[in-house]
Amino acid sequence: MSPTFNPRARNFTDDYVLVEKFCLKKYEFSHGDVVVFCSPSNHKEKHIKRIIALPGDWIGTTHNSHDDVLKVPKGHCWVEGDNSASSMDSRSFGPIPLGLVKGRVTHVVWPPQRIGLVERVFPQERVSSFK
Amino acid sequence: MRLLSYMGQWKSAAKEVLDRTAIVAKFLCLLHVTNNYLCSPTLVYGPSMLPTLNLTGDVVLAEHVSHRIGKVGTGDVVLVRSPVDPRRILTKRVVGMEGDTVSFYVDPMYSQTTVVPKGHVWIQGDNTYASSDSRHFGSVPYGLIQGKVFFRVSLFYLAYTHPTPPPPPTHTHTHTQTPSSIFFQKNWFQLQFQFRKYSIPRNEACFYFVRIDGIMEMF
Repeated sequence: MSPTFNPRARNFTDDYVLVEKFCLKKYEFSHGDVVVFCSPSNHKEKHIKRIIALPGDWIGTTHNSHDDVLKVPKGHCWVEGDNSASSMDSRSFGPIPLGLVKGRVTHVVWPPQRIGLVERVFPQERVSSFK
Repeated sequence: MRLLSYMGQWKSAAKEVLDRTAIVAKFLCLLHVTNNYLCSPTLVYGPSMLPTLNLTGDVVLAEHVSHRIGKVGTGDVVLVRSPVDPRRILTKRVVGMEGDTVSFYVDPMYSQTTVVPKGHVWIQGDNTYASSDSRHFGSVPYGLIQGKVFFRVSLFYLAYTHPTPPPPPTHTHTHTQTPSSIFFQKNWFQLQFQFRKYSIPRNEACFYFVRIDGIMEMF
């Protein structure tokens, strides 16, 4: 998730963030939310990625060097890390059920010089949602 | 002078209120922790687990410890958050763990075989004819499991000679204690216990039974 979290490449254990769990009442997320979720291949690990596409959206991906457009199934979401070069996300394990999401990241609380709101950004050119 | 005495009384009353509030707050915290992390009663309904569980509703006890330490295995009835709607929780049985090969009938003529991927489980309802489960939405990640069901609680109310509860005592009855009723309500489930502690003839008594799968306890 560089450079949003841990911008210095040397050690990946520096940033502390605030995770809010009120979103788990209704499971309503927006495009660009950073969320914490249990890994679908190992329930003991938790990952932190950004939600790029919500249920019903069409997302453009590159699969085996040819472009593909996938529809995110009902109850699932597409998550990607900000550092696309080195990120294990939905491009490898596919869309994840929203039930695996354990919280939403709202603020960075440590280190002090990076305290602030976590912005909501996402690649709008790759996602299209027809509602 | 009187103002000072009023202040003293108010201070002791306020202290007592705070003490009582603290006790209630501690109890609610304990209830929340037990419900979410230890054991909780849940109302489950629907036809997908017949004949194991009722169509119209069953209260089951589910424990939330096993799935965190990885002790959920084949044959367990589990509470699972639906992969299709994260606000719904399903009750299904685990039929295959990661690495298992599962064969199922898509329709009576056509059978399909899949291998359960790493970190996933295959869940099916006991009533295969009326259950939407892994045969429709595929293997579910283990992280969606919320708890394991281990008990079913059934509540019986038996009145021997009076089909309705006996009338409240009038002044002519002799009773040792005033009748007290304890009303306990959760947002989905309502239990009403009424203990009428007065001397009544034995043949007019009404008994409450709570059966926990074979263990009878009489209140």
